[in-house]
Amino acid sequence: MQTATKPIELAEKPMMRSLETDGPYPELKDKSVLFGQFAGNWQYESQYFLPDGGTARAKGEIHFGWILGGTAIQDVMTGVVQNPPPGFPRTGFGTMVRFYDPNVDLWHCVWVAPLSRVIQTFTARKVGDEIILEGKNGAGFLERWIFSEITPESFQWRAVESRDDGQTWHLDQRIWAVRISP
Amino acid sequence: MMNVVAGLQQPSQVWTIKGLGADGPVPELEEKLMLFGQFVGDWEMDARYPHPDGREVTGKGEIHFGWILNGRGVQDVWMSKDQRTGKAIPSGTTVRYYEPKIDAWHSIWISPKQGTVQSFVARKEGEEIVLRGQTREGYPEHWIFSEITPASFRWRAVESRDKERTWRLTEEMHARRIKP
Repeated sequence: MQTATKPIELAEKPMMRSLETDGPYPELKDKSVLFGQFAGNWQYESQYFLPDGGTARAKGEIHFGWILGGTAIQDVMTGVVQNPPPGFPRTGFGTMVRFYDPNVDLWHCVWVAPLSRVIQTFTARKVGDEIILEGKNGAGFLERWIFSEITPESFQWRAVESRDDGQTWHLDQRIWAVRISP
Repeated sequence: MMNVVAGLQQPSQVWTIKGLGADGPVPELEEKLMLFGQFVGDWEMDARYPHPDGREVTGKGEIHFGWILNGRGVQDVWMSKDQRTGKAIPSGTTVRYYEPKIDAWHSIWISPKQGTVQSFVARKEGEEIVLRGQTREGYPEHWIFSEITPASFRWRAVESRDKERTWRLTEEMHARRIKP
C-alpha cells in the first residue's frame, strides 16, 4: 500500500516530472498568467531593422512550457533568416527562462542564444496592455523586448534599443506570432 | 548500437517543450561538449551545508541533466527532497553552453526558489570542473565538480570574502547516478 506521503511518482520519468509541469505553481497562479498565457506552440514571422537602414526577414517557431514545478516558464525559439546580409546569422536559436519574484513583484528573464553568443538578463512587468522586458544588451545600451496586441491566438513583439539612456528608441526587430496549438 | 557510452544518448522526448531537447552533442564540438555531457542522466545526492558557526544542515536531492538546443548545451534541474514528505521540490535549473571563442562554458543558474540568477564561466582545471562567478553579495564564488566517475561525482561551493586569499565551503554534495 502506498501512503499519501510516499513519493509514488519517483520511479517515472524524473526529468519530465522535475523540469516540466502542466501548469503554474498554485500559489503564484494569478501572477504566473502574465507569461503563462503563452504556454503552447507558436509560429512567427519577423523583420529585423538593421543599423544601415536595410531589413532582413525571418520565419520560425516559439514553444513555451512550464518548468520547475510550475514556478518558471521556459521557451525555445527557432528561426531561419530568409535574406541574411553578410555577417548576419542565418539561423536564430535560443531559449528563455523566466520566473516571477514576489519580493520585487517582477519577472526575472534570462535569454540564452549559443549561436549568436548572447546571454541577456531582463526584468519584466506588465505596463498597460503590454509586457515590457527591460535590460542591457552586450554593448551596455538599454534594451526593451515588448509583447503587445496579446490575444489567446496571437501576439506581437518588438525589440527596441536606446543609446541615450531612454530618451530615444530604435526599433531593432518585430515579430508577429500566431498560435499553432495549445 | 544504442548507449555505447552510458548516458550519451538521451531521447529528446524527455523534454516536452518542443525543440528544447536534443539526442546528443553536435558532432563537431562533441569532445568539448562532453565536459558537461558526461553528466547527462539522472542522479541522486546527499548534500551538506556547513555554517560558519560549526553547525551543519544536511539534505537529500536529485539532479537531472539533459542535452538541449540541438546539442549545443546541457541543462540540468536540481531538486531537494522535503525531509518530512519525501517529495522532491525543484530548486532551480542551469542552462549552459560551450562557447568556442573563449574555449569555456557559459553557465547560468536560475532559481525561482532562491529568487536568483547567477552567471558562471566554467572550464576544466586539472581533474576538476570549476565554475567561476559571484555570490549575490558580490563575493567571488566557485562551484566545483570533482572526483568525477561515470557513476558518481562530488560538487562543492566555496566563496571568498578576503579577495580570494581564503575560501569557505558553503555547500557540498555527493552524487550517484540513478540509472544510465
